[in-house]
Amino acid sequence: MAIRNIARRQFDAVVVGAGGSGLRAALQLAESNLKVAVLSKVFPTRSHTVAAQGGVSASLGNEEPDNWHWHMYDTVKGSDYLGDQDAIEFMCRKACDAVVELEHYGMPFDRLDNGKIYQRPFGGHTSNYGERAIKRACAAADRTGHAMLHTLYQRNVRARTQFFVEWMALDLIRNQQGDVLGVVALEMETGEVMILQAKATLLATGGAGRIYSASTNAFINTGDGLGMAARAGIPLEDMEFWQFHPTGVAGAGVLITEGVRGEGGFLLNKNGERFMERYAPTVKDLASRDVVSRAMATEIKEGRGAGKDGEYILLKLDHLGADVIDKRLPGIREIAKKFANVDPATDPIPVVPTCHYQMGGVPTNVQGQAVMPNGKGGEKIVRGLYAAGECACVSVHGANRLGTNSLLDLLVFGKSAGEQVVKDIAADVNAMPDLPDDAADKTMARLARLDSAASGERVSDVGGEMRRTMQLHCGVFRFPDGLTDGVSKMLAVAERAKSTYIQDKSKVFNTARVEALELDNLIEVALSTMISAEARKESRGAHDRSDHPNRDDVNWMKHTLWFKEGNRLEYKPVQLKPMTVESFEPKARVY
Amino acid sequence: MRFQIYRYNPDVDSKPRMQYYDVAMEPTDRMLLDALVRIKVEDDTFSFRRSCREGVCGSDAMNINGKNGLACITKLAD
Repeated sequence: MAIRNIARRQFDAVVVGAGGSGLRAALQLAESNLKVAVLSKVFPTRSHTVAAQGGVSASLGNEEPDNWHWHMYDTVKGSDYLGDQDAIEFMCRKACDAVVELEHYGMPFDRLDNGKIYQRPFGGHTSNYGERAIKRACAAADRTGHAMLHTLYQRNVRARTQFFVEWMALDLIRNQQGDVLGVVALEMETGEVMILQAKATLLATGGAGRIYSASTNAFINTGDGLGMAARAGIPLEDMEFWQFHPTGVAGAGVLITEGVRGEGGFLLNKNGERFMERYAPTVKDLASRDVVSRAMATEIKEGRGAGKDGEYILLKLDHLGADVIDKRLPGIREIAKKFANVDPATDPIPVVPTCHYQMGGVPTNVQGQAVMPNGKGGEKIVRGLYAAGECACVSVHGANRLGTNSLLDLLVFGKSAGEQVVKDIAADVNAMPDLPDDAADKTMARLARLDSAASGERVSDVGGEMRRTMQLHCGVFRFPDGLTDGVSKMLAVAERAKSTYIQDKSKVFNTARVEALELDNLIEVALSTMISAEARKESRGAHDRSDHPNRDDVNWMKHTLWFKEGNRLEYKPVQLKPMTVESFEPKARVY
Repeated sequence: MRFQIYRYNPDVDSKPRMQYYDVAMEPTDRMLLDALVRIKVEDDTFSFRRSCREGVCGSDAMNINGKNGLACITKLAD
């Protein structure tokens, strides 16, 4: 369909997603007199940042000495040395300013008696390069993400940011030169399609945990930015690395913050043993998340799990006392009562490792610009495209993310990408480039297929098969046969997804159509994960496989890049050299 | 379980109407949201807002048996 028949609006910048990183980027843009549109599938304060619990890390040192270099070491080690050290230095150096800025925006942090921001210990965060656990996580009870999202939203209201609420971006528009010129989007309330033309498109679409059956993620986390990038020929980086959070409520998948262990809670097997003392003698239950998840999965596999079928682990915190729980962890007390029928002030909570976070995503540099191979062994910037937050891969989290580093990632890179968009638009004095005539063709074809199909696969059936495959073939522990089978199964599921059918063909607030379109994005994420995982013949961070149980720095110190076309894989080296300090040499990773 | 839901399709209805649904529930279904998701699988014209499914985002606020609440933390047993 020729683009002249589709409604169109022009902006300087379009931000896709109004979670923590999207809102922080929007704030940066609001101060610049640019014409900006922020699209969100849900009302901004419903974005999944709202569910983050534990804290945002910064070496403020409010209770004990701390410095950014220790934070950087912890993050590099936490990433199992796959994180780019220049990006990690960038983030850790800016952490204190980012948190103080948020406080000045009005974020209601918990406070010490002297008025300074309350900080708690958290997994993988240590003093003096791994000596012992340190209080680095700045917290607002166990509702830090909730407080942060509402603070950023209020700030955007003050800045008069223009929101397009309940709009779903469907595809990127790219011209022959490879520049990104905006998005094609669906207004959910009316079912109308519009082209939002822009000099800069910033993806802040979050994660895609909905590829797994058991996940802490919301229904909306469907990897839309990744699907859009993949369909536009942009590679997805490090997709094989998915974090399984140690403590999701067994059977419900709802998150119980690591902050529980930060406040002194610990894990027990069916024998009442605090087993983390065996797996991580120094920091025990506050080891890095992948280490804890594997320990728990091992205890369960070896028959020491609690519960009727030995299927979960117990998280004990009653010894903290009801007062501490109500003050520091009120949210999880509610969650445990509602979803586990347990009051943690008296009984332990049944928990299992649950899919939680996507370390991979759209490859970017430290300024938030999307990058891809240039065909000559180096990298080129994808003009007009930016990404920040969980959907981006800078990479600061490498093969495993430390708790509290994600909320920090949102602030630092949301701001950085926003600043770069302002800079790039100011430097480009040209008028808006022309849209190619077929800019919306692929999108309109996808919509037309859904609108005309008289029969086909149910979205929930195909989605269910995708989730089961991921859960079975690409979980905490991975096996060579499982990975190869997983790839062929997922290719078959991807074929089935091409003929999904929706009964509801109406225009107004048609969520069946939205779910079918979301499935398209989930499939790209699932495929890229399966294929990247099968190909990585080593174990590193969250990717653990039985046939290659060790880290192989000689052959595998590199990032994976998956291209949708042909399911092709390329690799690029890890940036070991930081911005200004000495590199942290890869070592054996022990906690 | 039988559910009575107030529905409206602007393309078709002149005003909102009540509709009955009978849903076979599984033992793992605990909350009202679980039932609504099951209804949607059978009748995909049934639309409602939902996101976090843990009671923290507010998307699935609705009037339930006369009281306003969040579907994801309203127990089916109640």
